[in-house]
Amino acid sequence: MVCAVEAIPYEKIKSQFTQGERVSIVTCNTCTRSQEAGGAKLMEEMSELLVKDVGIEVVEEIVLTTGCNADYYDQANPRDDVDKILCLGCWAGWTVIKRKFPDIPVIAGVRTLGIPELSEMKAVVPPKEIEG
Amino acid sequence: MIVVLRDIDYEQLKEQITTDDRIIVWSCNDCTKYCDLGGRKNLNALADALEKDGYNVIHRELIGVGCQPPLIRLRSQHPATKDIFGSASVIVVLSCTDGFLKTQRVFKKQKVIQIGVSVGLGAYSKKEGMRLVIPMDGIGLEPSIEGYSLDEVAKKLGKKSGPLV
Repeated sequence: MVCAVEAIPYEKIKSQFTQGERVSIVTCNTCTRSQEAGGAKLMEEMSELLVKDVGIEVVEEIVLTTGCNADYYDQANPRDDVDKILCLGCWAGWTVIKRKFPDIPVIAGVRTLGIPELSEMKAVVPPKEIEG
Repeated sequence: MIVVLRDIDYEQLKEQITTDDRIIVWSCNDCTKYCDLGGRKNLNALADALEKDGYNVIHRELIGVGCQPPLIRLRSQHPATKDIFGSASVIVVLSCTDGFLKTQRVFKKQKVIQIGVSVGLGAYSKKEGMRLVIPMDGIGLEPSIEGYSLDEVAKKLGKKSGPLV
């Protein structure tokens, strides 16, 4: 697997949104999907829960073949009229979104554990804006 | 994607092989391609250079994702490739560190030569190529939303970037 990830607990994600916020959700369909931390199905479930539990307005859901490919994100023509973006991709995918929209808070819904090398896991350094 | 650099150059690779070796050149077609170290173009360029220099390249293998053990094992077991891999003495691997280690684990009888070294996670665009955004812990670089070019990272770490030839 390219990078190892785990889903951040729903309660922790939920606590970062407030009622009425307009939210875009972006997920990666490679590493995070195969490790059940992202992908279309999980994104739809997360979206429904956040609408029901918090009362956010999900204005857009984007599934990227590879979240760390900036061209794919550009081609998805993401909206800039949102209050927050929820990233269900790895931290590299998070940087792609943050670089395009530096002024919009990008909530990480996935924690990147590192890069596997056989049975070892090489840790990576989290961006300062993300709680590792 | 994994950012893959390398520790050796083409001349140093040649020091590890002989003209008597039966060589397979192997490349991942995912992250390593986006780092311009592997992929079909660089796989063929390396194999062509080795042949031109008198080495016996018996096979070229492009693997979709080089860190997936089932795909690697398939090459050792599938009727189309089993014999040729069984007859090789050397496999030159253009993959990340994980891909190299997993290839080495499958092909225990061959000398498996590592070219690529993983240094972190990158973000790719056609305009800028691969850029390191999430470094591995301990390499002395901070995460960067804009990212570092592979040349910058290689220089900082005393490694090399890009194709072998």
